[in-house]
Amino acid sequence: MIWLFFALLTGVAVLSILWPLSRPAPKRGEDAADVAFYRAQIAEIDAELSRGGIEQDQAESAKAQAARRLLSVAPDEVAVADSPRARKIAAALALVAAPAIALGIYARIGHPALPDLPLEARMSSPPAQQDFAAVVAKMEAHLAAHPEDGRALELMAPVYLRLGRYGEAVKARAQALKILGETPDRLVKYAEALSYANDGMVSPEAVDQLERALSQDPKNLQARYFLGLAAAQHEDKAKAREVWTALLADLPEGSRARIDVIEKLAMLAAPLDGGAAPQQGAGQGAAPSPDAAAAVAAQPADEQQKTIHAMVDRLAQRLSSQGGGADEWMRLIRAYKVLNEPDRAKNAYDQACKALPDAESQQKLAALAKELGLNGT
Amino acid sequence: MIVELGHYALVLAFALSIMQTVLPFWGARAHEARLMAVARPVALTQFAFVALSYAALTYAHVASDFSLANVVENSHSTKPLIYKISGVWGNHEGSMMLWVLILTLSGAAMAAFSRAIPPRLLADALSVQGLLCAAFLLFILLTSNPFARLSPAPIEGADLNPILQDPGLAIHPPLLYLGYVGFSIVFSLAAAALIGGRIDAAFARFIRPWTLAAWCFLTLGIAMGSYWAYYTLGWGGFWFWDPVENASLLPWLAGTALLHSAAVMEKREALKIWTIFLAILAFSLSLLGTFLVRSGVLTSVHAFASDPQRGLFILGILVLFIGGALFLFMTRASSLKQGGLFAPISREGALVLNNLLLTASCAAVFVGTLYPLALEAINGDKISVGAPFFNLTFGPLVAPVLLLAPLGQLLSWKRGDLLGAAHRLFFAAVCGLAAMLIFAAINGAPVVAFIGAGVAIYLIVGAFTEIFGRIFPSGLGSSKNAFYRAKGLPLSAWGTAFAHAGLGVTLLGLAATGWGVEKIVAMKQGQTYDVGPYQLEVIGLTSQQGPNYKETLAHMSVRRDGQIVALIQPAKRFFTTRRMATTQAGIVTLNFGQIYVSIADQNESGSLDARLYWKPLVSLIWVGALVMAFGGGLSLSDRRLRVGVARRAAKIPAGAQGAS
Repeated sequence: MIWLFFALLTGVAVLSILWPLSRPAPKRGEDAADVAFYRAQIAEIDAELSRGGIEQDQAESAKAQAARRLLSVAPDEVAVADSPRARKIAAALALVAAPAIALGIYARIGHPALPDLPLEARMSSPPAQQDFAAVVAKMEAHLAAHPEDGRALELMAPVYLRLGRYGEAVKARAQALKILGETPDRLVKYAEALSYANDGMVSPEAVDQLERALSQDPKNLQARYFLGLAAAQHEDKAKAREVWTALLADLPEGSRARIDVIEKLAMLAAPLDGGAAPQQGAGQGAAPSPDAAAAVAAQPADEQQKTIHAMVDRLAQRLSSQGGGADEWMRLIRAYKVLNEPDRAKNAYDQACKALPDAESQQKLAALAKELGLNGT
Repeated sequence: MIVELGHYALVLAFALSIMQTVLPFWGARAHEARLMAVARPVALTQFAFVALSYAALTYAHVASDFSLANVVENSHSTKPLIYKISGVWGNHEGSMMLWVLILTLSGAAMAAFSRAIPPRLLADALSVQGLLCAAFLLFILLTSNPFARLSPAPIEGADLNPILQDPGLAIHPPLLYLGYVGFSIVFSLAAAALIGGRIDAAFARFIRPWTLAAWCFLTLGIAMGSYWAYYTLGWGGFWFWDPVENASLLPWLAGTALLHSAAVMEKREALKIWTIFLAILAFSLSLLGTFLVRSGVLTSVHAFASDPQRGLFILGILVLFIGGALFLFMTRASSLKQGGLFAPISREGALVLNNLLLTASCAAVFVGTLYPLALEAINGDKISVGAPFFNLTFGPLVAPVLLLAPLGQLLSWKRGDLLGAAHRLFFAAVCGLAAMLIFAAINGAPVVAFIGAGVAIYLIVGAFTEIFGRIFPSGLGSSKNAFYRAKGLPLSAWGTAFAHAGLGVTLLGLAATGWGVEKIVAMKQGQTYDVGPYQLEVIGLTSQQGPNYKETLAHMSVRRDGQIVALIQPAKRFFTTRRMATTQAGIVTLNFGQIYVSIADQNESGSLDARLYWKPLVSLIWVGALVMAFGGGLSLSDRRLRVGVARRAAKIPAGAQGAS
């Protein structure tokens, strides 16, 4: 649609050049204006004289001067030339150069695909089509009008986290806690926001909240996960291992959370470069998986390794027998890499490539291989 | 889609401007009439495209389309509609758009209303105009694109600088730009005349209407800017010799000189070189002003953005056009034939003197504006050249202009009678002296004030002396037919009289500032404060919420001899988005003078810090500018002098005409 209008405008531009080229040449001498001017000037001198603005003798000499100039107005030295060749070149320029210049520049700086986004329309379009910023703005307006709406606060807090506005997320969580009352879940969410605001480190204040949550619900999975994380961040590996291992027992077999915790434990056992601090963000989207948790930890080190190996093997078996998604395969490849078994990682990678022929998976796998350096080995 | 359509239209306008530069110029060299004829429709289409683009940008501002970086940076959804519209040019990118819009408008106007201009001259002039448009369009597209998009779009903007959220923004920049850019037509015609090598008296008539129109707009634009500064900045000043203000004064002075020298060229074919030079100078100084403001060399309210790349680009444009024009001037000036002769004591002689003084004063302002900048660039010293410098240089140069203006009107062309003219000015001089004595007796010191006021009265009366003499050739006794004689006078003569009188009116307002009263007090409720002949009292304070600001209003009554004559509400506004405060002066005009109150915050003790002013006759400063522009408008509407009607005018019986 927009290209139609572009074409229309370009057409008008080209026509404005072609039209005068195609019309008969205007017949107007160069000197017509000058002749008219000097005639008028002589008349003006008479008028000036009759009003007394100039002396008689001066008027005469001025008139003589103007008359001399009138006579000397040079007749057009060169008659108007007719040059079809020049006109053809001009027409070619109009047809080719003008659109080429316009389109060339516009192609570099324009955004033909971006629609107009008038604010009114953004705010009033049906929710499913609204852009994210508009929804946020509406929610914020709602909160400004109803600061006591705890449910709205709870809805907004994760949005703030996603937008990186951690301070506001903390405020929203604290406010929701105050308005809606304390539950283990709200305490954990508050702690989570605090950690984000603290550059991803679980702060002592957050630990207080988590322990409070645990005192109300000793089995709370998320609280235990974060406490393990806090320990790991403080290089208290034994404690982290203990917390996460206990957690592992409570997580359902095959759940994503469980695999997460297994990975975390693996990292504790075999710290790779940069892998020691299990901060959020590393390799799996912006957020950590807050639902995950646990550890194989209380066991002696070699025992742990065995447990972990056993788990990874189970995953490998399941994938090769029953198949699975790209995410699961990638998890397996990662796990082998973390366990420092590059050959098996490569092997798993090759299997995955065969098992998942679709383009998207191939792309993901290729990216992972690059990240882990699998192709080089 | 509207936004991108506007963007594309702008790019297309650039492509057309290149065509407008190349084809007519080539046509003029090849004497190919149809190639030359391309210039006019292309100039019109180009203007249409830029207007379309400008409308699209305005739409984006009005609809708060925050997918445009320009809208995000300078608008806010709660901003009142008028500032959404005027805010389009309240920022760097938008003001350049306005500049180009008016540049293309000038080209279109030249194309539409210049049928009497010889085709080759017109073709070359439109070609130069096209090059100007191309340069500025490229500047916009490459360094200051208002259509730059953001994705994802923010939901709210940063709002417009609160100082600019004022009706003044809706009026001042368009008028000023119409003035600045209006001189581009004169520039293009001068460059074209130099290229073609045909410079005669007719040329002066071709540039006359454009010079006059640009001059009127510039006069109004400067006056409006000065009044805006006066009522918003809160310390009662109206002219600060700020470099940006000087940048607008420079083309005005050059333009005024041009108006007068073009009159001589038209009549006597004399001063040809000089007129061409002034035509180039007036627009060059406009360009210089743009460079100073837009490059960020100066920092002031007007410097919306400073970016070295932009500065270099504009400097390039400056060098290309001023340098190019001066080069043409140098190569052609020597080949010009000398024009008509005139005695030193004559209308022409007086106009030459006027020109010398105006250009000298222009040079003084130029030095005062650029010297501190040059000094800072060379050795880093920051000096400020303020009012004292300009009073000592500009003042003495302009004073003789004021004294001689009525005399020039009374001298005959070619050879004048100085004694006779002086004799006819006797009445005006007596009025001036009497006014001086009266002002001195009533208001007293300072001396400058009553002398200035006396000169102003002399100037006003003197401006109409010539007209009076023509309507009543033998004194007031012969009032028969006076009306018909008045009607028969050319409008340009009336225009001259009004323009000169306007100058006098402005001078009167300026002189009267000497008698102003200024007080800084902590006002308490219930107490009255004397300011000049008036008494002020605070009635109360209120707060209210504006669309995008909070406001504290102080309600005050103005009394004279116990009677309340006016109520004023000076205010302080706080703009929440930009976290900036502005003051809204409380102003009331009483007998051409003004009570002006500007408030600060309330003290802890409850009193209100305020500046109180009584400024007698101050409004005349701007009324005078209106009168000047009115005079210019009268002169412009003189059909006889409009280009395109020259042939018809020649057929009108000689008796109905006259020359100014």
